[in-house]
Amino acid sequence: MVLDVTATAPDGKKLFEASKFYMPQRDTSIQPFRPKEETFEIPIPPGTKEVNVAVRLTYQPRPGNVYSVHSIDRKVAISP
Amino acid sequence: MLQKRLSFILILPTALILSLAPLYLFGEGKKGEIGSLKELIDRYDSSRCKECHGEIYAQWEKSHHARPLMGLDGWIFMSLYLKEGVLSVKSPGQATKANFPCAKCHLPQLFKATDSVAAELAAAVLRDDKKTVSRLNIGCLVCHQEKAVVHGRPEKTAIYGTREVKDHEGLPVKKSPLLKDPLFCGQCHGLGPNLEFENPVQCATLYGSYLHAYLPNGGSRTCQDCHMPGKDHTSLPNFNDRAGTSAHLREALPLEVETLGYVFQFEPGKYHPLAVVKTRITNKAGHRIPDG
Repeated sequence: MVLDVTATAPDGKKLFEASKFYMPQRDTSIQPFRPKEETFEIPIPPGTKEVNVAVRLTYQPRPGNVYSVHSIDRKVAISP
Repeated sequence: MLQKRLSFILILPTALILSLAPLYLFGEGKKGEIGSLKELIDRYDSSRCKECHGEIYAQWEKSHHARPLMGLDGWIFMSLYLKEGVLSVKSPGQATKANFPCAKCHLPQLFKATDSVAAELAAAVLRDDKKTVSRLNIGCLVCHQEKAVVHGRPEKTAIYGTREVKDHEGLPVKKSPLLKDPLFCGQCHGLGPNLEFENPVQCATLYGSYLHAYLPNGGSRTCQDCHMPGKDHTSLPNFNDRAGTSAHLREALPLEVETLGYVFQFEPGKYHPLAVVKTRITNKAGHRIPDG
């Protein structure tokens, strides 16, 4: 399973991207009764009033073989 | 003297017939071993059950149990291992059962066959003969006979079900409580490292996760509850059904996202805008994800 988080400015410029891999080899798998929580702190260029955040969870049993699981988009206002 | 010679004349062909009979009956292997790939396919062919159990057969036909050597989207996964690495062979004829440790779960009936059957299988795999390879499966007899009993060996003159059916056509059905038990699935789904082979393989550990992570934390459902509801032999997920698999995973792994945008003053006059994204994935399944 792969969790991808990206943040883009209103003009489409990519400001941030990060991925978390949940896999059995190192047992970072998602365990029953133990939710996986992640926090991403994204620095935003001064003056930016809003960013678009895209969160994608995919299942990738083999490289290049991608099953979409969740696709969530949020607009985040940067309050002074 | 004549009587002695006649006896010899009679004894010699009789002895010859008796000594060669096993070869005719069972191929070149040990007594009872399956001697050809065709025989392996025929002996475990589930289509004979279809007539009376059509609905179950139709469900099973869509499952990965019906194509355990075919991997995702019809890809014969063993082709990779027979071409590269410790299980590889220079020619299919060199292959023996030792080249197929994966058969422990993907085709357990192979271990009832001779090495020449393994060579035949290797040839079919390496020529990408999907028609032949797709006929090798985890069919009715594998689960309802071979894997249906763990204390002692299953009877060859019976098959096993969740209830007894004495007048079942073909072989009588004996009751096996194991069929409803997670251990039944655990025989294959999660054996971890298989160190008994000449070339050990690390396989899925899903049943271990069920035992050590799900049950101790209060989980109470069985594999069959979730993967065979109402005895559905489709045994989801079906990874070739991409939309269905995505929906299945979406249900098993709810994702919550929280966001916060703010500006903080790190030092006098210096402002740092930040967006914070918090994600939380909950696993509602009875085992870790991913696993196998």
